[in-house]
Order: sequence, then structure tokens, then C-alpha cells
Amino acid sequence: MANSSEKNILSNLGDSYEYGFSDPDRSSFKSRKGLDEEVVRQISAIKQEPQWMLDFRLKAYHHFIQRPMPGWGPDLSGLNLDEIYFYVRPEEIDQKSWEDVPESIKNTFERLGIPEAEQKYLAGVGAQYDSEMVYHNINEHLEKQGVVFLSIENGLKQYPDLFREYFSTVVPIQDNKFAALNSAVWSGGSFVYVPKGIKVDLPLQAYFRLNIASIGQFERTLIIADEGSQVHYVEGCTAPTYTTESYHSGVIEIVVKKDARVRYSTIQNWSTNVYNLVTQRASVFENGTMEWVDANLGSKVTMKYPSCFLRGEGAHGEMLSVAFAGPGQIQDAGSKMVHFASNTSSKITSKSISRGNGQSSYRGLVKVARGLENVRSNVVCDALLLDPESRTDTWPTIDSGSLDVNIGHEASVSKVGEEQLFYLTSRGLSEEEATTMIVSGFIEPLVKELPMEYAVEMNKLIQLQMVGSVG
Amino acid sequence: MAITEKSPYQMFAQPSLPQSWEADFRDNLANWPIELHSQLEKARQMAYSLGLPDRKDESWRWMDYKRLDFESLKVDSKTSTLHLTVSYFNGNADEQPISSSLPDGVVITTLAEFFDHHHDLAVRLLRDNNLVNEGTFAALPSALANNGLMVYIPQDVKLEGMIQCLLEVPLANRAVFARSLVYLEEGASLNLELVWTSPDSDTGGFYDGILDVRLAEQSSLHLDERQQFARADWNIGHATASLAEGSKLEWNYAAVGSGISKNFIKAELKGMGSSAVLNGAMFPTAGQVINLDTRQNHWAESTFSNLMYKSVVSESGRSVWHGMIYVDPEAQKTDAYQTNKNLILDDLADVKSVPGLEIRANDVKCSHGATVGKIDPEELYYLQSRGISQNEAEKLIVEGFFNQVVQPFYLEKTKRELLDLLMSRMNS
Repeated sequence: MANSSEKNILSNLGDSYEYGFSDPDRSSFKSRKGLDEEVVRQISAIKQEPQWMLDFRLKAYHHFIQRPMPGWGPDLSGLNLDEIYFYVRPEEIDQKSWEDVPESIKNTFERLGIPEAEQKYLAGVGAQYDSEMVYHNINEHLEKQGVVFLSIENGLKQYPDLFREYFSTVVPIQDNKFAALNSAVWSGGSFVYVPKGIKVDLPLQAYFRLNIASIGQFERTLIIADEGSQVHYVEGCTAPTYTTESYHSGVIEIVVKKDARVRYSTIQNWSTNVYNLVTQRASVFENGTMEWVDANLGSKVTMKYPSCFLRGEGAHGEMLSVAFAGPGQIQDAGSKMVHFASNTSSKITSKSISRGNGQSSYRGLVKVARGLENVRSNVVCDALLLDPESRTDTWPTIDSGSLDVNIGHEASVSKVGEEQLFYLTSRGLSEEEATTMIVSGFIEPLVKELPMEYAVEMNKLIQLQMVGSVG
Repeated sequence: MAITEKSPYQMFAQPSLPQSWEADFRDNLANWPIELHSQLEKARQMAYSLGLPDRKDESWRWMDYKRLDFESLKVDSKTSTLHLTVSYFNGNADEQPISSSLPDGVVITTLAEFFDHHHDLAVRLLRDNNLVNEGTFAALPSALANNGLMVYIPQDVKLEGMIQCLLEVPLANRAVFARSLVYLEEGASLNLELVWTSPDSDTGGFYDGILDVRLAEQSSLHLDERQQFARADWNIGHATASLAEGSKLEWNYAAVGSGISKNFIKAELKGMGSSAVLNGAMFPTAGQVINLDTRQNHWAESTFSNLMYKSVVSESGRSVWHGMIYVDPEAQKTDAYQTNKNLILDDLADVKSVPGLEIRANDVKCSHGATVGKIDPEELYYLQSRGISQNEAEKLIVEGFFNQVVQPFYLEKTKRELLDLLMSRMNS
């Protein structure tokens, strides 16, 4: 770690959140605060949607109203939905050329390093500012091969049949209260289609930014990986630091067809006043593989349990996650692996770090339907506690209705080893540097699965989280 | 929260507790010393204000008591409905109990006898009820019990050998509520086995009991418990052990009987340096549901707990285990472990395993593990290649799997009986 650039980063770190800046509110349209049927109709009308989508939104809205708040999990009483703007449209939306993105928004993403990243590492980039995608671009050669990477709105417009065939088939309205809310007011997100046999070798990236205060962002992403195809999608999230709570509630649906392989990576770094309640699910068919790589570093409260429904024989689901809960943060994360077919396998590796009064939890489910053969699942959770105030919970559930299964779960909780600390400090590192190094080592298995640009970002974020952790 | 008439989450035949039990409660007061009446009244209020749990309640998931009709069951408030036989074994290998009398001050008796012969002690020991807040089915016996097992070991009395208490409860067509207490004073030690049984019947009945185990400073208890109610019976139990400084508990539990049973087993490590080792064996077979809910609560520094629960599920049996380790901020230097292993023998078998950790201190060593699997084909192949029939080989593997949680039982006779009982299920 002791290279000079990282030392610079460490020495330049303030106690503040690096992405906490905000731009003046230049939105072209804002729905009024709160939610009713009229707001839902308004969103649909602005987007000039077909009737079936308006009907879908209204149905979802009514389900959302009826459905009680979850009776489990973190305290959500600070989330006042009447004070939230459910739809905020920036000045100009969905440009294909970076030059056409309005100056103020461009500045934001340039400060976040997006265009640079695109040139170097990525096959395509989408950027969402408040409620709408402001930019979408994809490498020409992929476009020629038929790879589709559009904002979800343009996906609906340009590929209405494909869209309708898969939309809401992975996460139905009735799945949970927040998925119902997203279904009613969704805006922005990506639509990805990878044709049969096409392997997208560089990651597609989406960047999510909340700019104004008291906003709700409800992006909806639909990824369809056709037979034998391969794609890696990466999302990153930031928001300015305001005193009022904001709310992010995305729904991500992924269809992994026969022999296809999808990886979905998230670096969630919302400011610590954002409620982040996300539903992410993949339907995985015969011999398909779905991998979730999930890092939760920001937000006030995160509730997020990416899941794989393994529907075809030979399907494989994998989850690799790291959560870091600093002071005042609740990271209630986990994963669900549901085995509906024989010869399926799944693996969950969860690592969490708690500091201050931060609370990180693993909440998971491995479920095996009746009468299946040769089902394998392995779950490993490790929690690291950095000081006496931090807390961690582990709540896995195993529900098996088949004979021919092999399911294992193990979890352990530990603190930073005194011997490790002693060894490192005796080599001249400060206690904080030593602890940071141990934490970096603890999350190494996840970091090395990320594209280089993100691995650097991830290490930087961990160092940020660690500032002030000692003494 | 009480559930409504049409709740889809309703778990019992009726939406609420029978009103007739209010009258049974009033009858039951006559069985209790007047000093404790207000405590019983509080428990009654608690039960009725909580109402019946429903399936939204996390710890009652996967349970169904729709065929349990409380209204059709009789509550015997006026007569005792529990028969206690106490045997004293000299050592763990003895086939026959010895006849020597117990040391002075040791009390092993029923609740009714306890009130008659040890009134002051009864009032002192039963003045606090650690379990009344644990839920409706802990509050009910706190209000309605007219019997139970009372064990009291005075200060520094160390009993060698094993005391076995056979508790027969005539459950057919009855709802029986029992309150039991095992109390060890400072420095006392005891090996105790409780065997809960009921006569076979077609109609069955309902047993709801609480067991309050209290270990004072430096005391030590080896507790073996076997739930062997008849298969037609329903059973819900709450058992809690409170451990004071330096006390030690080894608690082995075998869930064998009942059609549908749900037992809460809790170790409260309240005193510094206390330790609890918990083993459990479950073997649900056709149509049987065995649900065990374990908690290891660490409240004090340098406490230790280790839990190992194993389940073999045959035919359409269902095994449910919820486990939780809680470590309080005060409980630094805690070591706590929890393991649940499940062996599936049949396509129709159903296993739910829900381990949990809630850790609020950082200087701790905690881990848990859970596995679900079938008999390893390689182990089977190995044994068969040695000339052992498949059936015999499977039995050997299951026996080996169970031995880890059966061997910690104290009496050789009990170990054999348990293994025989469990293995007999493999023949059917």
C-alpha cells in the first residue's frame, strides 16, 4: 500500500465525503413532493409511454399503497415518503455525445472521473442524473454486433416487444413494497440486450448521481443475456451530502439464458443520508452463470439482497459482497439463492466491517425446491469488528425440501488481531495505516474481482472509511 | 398482537385463546399460595394481551396447529395431572437405581407437594418468574400450571451419580400446563435427567410447560432432557437456564416424541466466567414436525457457550431449527459457537435451518455453521465394499452421525435407549 499515490490520497483525506459537493438545481421538471396516482400518471405522460405501461404503473402504485412496511430489518421511520420528490427531470436527457451533455452535469461527472474511465476501461457508459439518464454511449463495434445498451426509456421505445417480453418477469410488482413503488414510478436505468453468442469483453458501466435534496431515484434496469453470451455490467452511485434524507430504490432484473454468463458489480457509495432499498434479481437458465459483486460503503440505511433464481439445470449463482458500516450507518445486506432445478449450485461469500456504532448484517436465504437432485450451496460470512461500539448480525436461512443436497453455511466474527497490529506497527506503520492495511487484506478477495479502475476506487473508499478509526 | 378472524397467517384452529381458560385460571388460584396470586394474575393478563402467535412471527414460521382445537380439550385445574418417579443412579453405568436417600435439604418433588411441604421455600423460589415474558405459551403455564417438577439443591451440596425424573403426563383430550424449576444454590452440583412422557392415545392432547433453571455462583449442572410424548400429542415448551458467575451447565436435549412440537431452549450467561454446552438430537419421521429454537445470550465478560444440534430427517418428517447467539456490549472476551447439522434420508424430508449471530462487542470469538446433506455415497460405498449390506451401512452412518450428540448424555442406559429409539425409525 505504501506507494506514493496512495499515501497522497491518505494525506489529502479530510473527514468529509469526497463526492459531497452539489450543483445548483437546474432541473427542467420536478413532480410535487409526495406520491399519488396523479404523480404516477404524470411520469408516464412525460415519458409518452404506451397504455400497458401506464396500467402497469397504476397497478403497482395500488399494490404499494396496500402493502405494509416490512416488519423486519432496519428502522425506516426516518424515511418520510411525503417529503420526497419522486420524479426530477434534468435539463437535457439521454445524449449520445458527451459534448451535448449540459455543462453543469458534465462537470459533475468529470469530477467523478467518468469520461476518462470510459476511454480507458469501458465498452459503454450510461450516466443517470436524478431521475433520467443524461448520457448513454457504447463502442461502435459492439453496436454493430447487435449489443443494445440504452436508457430503459429508449429500450421501451426502440425494442417494445423484447422489452415487454421480459420486463417485470424477474421481479414482479408483488415481490416487496419497494419493488412495487419502483414499478409505479421508475425512471432511468439501463436496457441491455446481448445477442446470442456475443461476448462483451469490456464492462458496461452505469453511473448514478443524485443531485438535489429530498429526491427519490427509482432506476430500473433490465439486462437480457441471450444464449451463450457474456457481459459485465458495473454501476457506481454517489450523491451530495444534504441534511434531508434522500431515497434510492432501484429494481434490477437480469435474464441469464442458456449458457450465458452475466456479472453485475456495484460500488455503492451514496452519501450517508440516503436510504438505499434495492431489489436485484437474476433468473438463470440452463448452464447459465450469474455473478453478483457487491460493495456497500455509503448510504444511511441499505437493504439489499441480490438473488439468483436458478431455473435451469446446471445453472450457477454466485455472490461476493463487502459491506462497510461506519458511524451511523446500517448495511443490511445479504443474498438469496433459490434452487428450482437439479444440478444447480450457488456460492455466497460475504465480508463485512463495522466501525463506530455502524451496524452491518448478513441476511440470506438458500432455498431448495422439492424433489431436486444434486444441489450444492456454500455460504461463508466473515465479519470484522473494529471497535467496541460496532455491531454485526448474521441471519442466514436454509430451507431444503430435497434429499440430494449439500448445503453448508459458516460464519465467523473477529476483531483486528493484536498480533497483526503489533507486527505492522513495529515495522513503522501508524496504527491507522496498519488497521487500514488489515482491512484491505480482509476485502482483497472482492477487490481483485473488480475492473482495475474500480479496484483503485474501492481501495480509496476503504481508506476514506477508515479515517479517524483509531484513537 | 392478536390476530383477526380471517388472517391468512392464522396458525391455530381458533383465532384467539379460549375464554373458558379464564375460569380454569380462577380455579387454579386455589392451588397456589396466596403470596403468588398477583404474579399469576399478571401472567394471565400477559397471555391474553399477547394472544396467539401467527405465522408472521419469525420464530413460528413453518408451523401449523390448525388441527389443534383448544376448545375440545379439558383443563384439569383442580386435580394434579402429572406423575413423577424419581430414581437415583450411583454412576453412569448402573442398571439399577439405588435406594439411598437424598442429602438433607435436597428437594425433588412435584409443584403440588412443594407447596404442601416447603411453603416458605416455594414462595421464595417462585416469587420471580424468569419466563413469563417469553411469549403466550410461557405466560399460559405461568398462570394456569397446577403442577410441575421442583428440584432444589442447597448450598455446596454436590450430588454424585444421576437423578432421573420420569414425568408422565396423561395428555389424551387434555390441555396440561406445567411450571418446573431446577434451582442450584451457590457451589451446588447435580446430574439430572428429565424424561417427559405421555400414554399413547388416538386423540392426543396439548402440553405447554416452562422450565426455569437457575444456577447460582460456582454451581454446576448436567441436565439431560428427553421429550418422549406420544405421537398424537402437541407440545410447546420454554426452558431457560440463568447462569451466575462461574457456574457451569451442560444441557443435552433429545426431541423424540410429539406430532408437532416447538421448544425454546435458552442459556442466559449472566455471570462472569459462566459456561454452557448445549447438545441436541432431533429425529423427525413421517408427518412429524420438530421445531427447536435455541438462544445463547452472553451478558457478561469471559463467558463461553458451544452448541451442537443435529437432526436426522426421515420420511416426510420436518426439522426446524432457529438458533441465535447474542453478545452484549458488556460481554467482551466471549467465546460462542453454534453448529447445526442435518442429515436427510428421504425425498419428502424437509429441513429448515436458521442460525444467527447478533454481536455487540468486538473482542469476541464467535462462529456458526450449518449443513444440510444426505448420506455421503462414498462412505456408503466404503462400508458396502467391506461386505456390509446397504441397510446396515446406512444405519452405521446415521448412528455415527448421532453419536456426537447422544454420547454426552450421562447414563449408558439412556444413550442406548435413545440410539435404539432413533435406529428403530430406520427400520420402519
